[in-house]
Amino acid sequence: MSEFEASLSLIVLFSLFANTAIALYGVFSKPNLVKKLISMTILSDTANAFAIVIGYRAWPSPEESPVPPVLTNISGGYAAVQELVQKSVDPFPQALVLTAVVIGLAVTIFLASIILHYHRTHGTVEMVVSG
Amino acid sequence: MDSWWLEAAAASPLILAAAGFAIPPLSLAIKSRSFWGAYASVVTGAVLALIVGMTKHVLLSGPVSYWFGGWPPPLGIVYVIDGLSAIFASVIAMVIFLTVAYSAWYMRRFSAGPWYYTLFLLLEAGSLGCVMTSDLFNLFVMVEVLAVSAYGLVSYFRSSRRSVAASARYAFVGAAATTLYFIAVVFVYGSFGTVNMADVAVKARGLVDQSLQAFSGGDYGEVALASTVAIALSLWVFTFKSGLFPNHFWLPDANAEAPTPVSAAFASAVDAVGVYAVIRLLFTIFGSGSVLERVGARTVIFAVLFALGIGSALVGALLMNIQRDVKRVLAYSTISHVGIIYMAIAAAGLGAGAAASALTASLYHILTNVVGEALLFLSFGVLIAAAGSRDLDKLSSVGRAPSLVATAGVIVGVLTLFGIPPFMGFFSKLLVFISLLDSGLVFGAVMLLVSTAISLMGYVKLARAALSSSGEGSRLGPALPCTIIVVLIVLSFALGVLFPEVKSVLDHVSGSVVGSVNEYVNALSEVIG
Repeated sequence: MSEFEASLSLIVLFSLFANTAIALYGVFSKPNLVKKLISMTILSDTANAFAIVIGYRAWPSPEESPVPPVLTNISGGYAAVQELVQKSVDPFPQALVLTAVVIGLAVTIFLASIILHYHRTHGTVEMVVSG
Repeated sequence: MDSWWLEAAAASPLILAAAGFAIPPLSLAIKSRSFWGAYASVVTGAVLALIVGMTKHVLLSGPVSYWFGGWPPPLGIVYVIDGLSAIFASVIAMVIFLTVAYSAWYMRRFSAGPWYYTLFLLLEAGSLGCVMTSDLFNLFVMVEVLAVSAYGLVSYFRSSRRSVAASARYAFVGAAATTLYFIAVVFVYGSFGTVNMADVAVKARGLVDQSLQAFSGGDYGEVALASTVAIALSLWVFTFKSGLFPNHFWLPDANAEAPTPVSAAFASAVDAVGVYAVIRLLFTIFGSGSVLERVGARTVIFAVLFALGIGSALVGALLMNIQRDVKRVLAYSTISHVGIIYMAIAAAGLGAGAAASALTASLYHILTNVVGEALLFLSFGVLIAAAGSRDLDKLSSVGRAPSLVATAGVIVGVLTLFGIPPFMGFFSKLLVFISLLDSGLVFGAVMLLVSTAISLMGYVKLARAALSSSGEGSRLGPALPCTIIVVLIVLSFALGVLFPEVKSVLDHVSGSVVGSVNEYVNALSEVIG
């Protein structure tokens, strides 16, 4: 890995961790439920991006970008499969992220409807400590 | 997998989810509310029969595994049911069957739609999935299924200010916690190249299993650091689920504001699942001899869990004395018992020689907590329904006893949780006490006695509220809930009287959990081979 790539991946990882910290701060210390929901979506998107970064392999060289995990050269035989395995990104985290995105959607809808009911019963979206 | 009913038992989360989601469309045609109560009882009863049959099979002839869609492990999702999973699964299936049947009586008074049963069936699907899965990512999915249905059930009375607030507080922190667990899964995948529990367990110990690693290769990078981060993140979510201090803050609100049958199910469906996941992570996956032990992180983790367990036991016992709402008293009692359970788990991790017996003690105490809390919630449900209030003073000022059986249920529940023989609580607390002494954690043993002594006042208040409401002209009470209460009373008595038998079964289970990981891994290798 060249120096440029190393610093690039460090920047990506650092911004992911900073994002996580900011999102957690928002979820825990903002009294406004809508702001909590926004922080929550930032947190789950950060987690998903982190999974994709983990699956984005150490690419062969800066000039050559990795390929999607799809075998296009069908008649290439064993050699083509070997080349694909060396060049393609890891498909597994993408499958995880696909599932996590769907779950995140369901959770976000639930949280949004809870906020709606909170607004109906309390007349505000600010969380009060005494309940 | 040699018979259809074993496969059906392993796939029971799918059956429950299908049965649950069938309710909303079918309820357009069938309006009768009592029909849906009966429907949910039949479904959960059938699942209970399957799970009990599977538990018997697992305890007699070893773990079974079931892979979804024909994908071989570690590529696809696989369920491995060993003794530990089977015990938790049968406890969950039993308590949820009883509480769903109880709901058929309890929820008649509310204008509740059949959606209630959809959520309840999904709660069982999620918690059964959590304890049976052998896939860390599927555990995340099942925790979300469990959690979302739990948030929904807490806010079930959605026009009540307090239940919506309780659900909002629970849901936001819960959603953040499960997302952190997803990050933990990514850390595990990044360093081990797999999310299959058996595969991770083999690699974390530096062993080689050809049939698994043919697919997933070796491990990558800083394995020790990544495992420590992953375990730190996942312990936070699972101690949150089990209500361990200082992550207990959601439990009193959620337990108090949920419909009473749901509160009764929470001790088994949510708290016990959290404890299960911690045991699975710290003994099966990152057990002794794993990478966590080599870097010394495992001792630190158990020391922290020990301290938090003591804190939880004391905080729960202290705060249950000052509550006026009977369901909040019970919630703090759960927190106190969860603390005792974690003390026993820590004893299993810290005391090298006594690991198996300490784990037996924690499993036994989980049974005590689940049965005792279910018994108390369901008995007080009858009394609350008659008094129309959850306030302890108002409960005891009802002139005529609404139900003698419910009063007896409260008394037995209090004796169980406080720890009076011949009920099971005495034996489980005794086992925890002995295992703490055996592991050299004398301070913990003293704190167990102190927290039990502090909790006395809270339990006496509960018993007094139930007793003083019984007087002249008392009746036995409504038939359906009273039958369920009697079943739980008998269960608490039987699990205490049959102490040697129960202990030998649990010893067998915990022996295989703390022992070598081979039994768990072989359950996979056999089907692959």
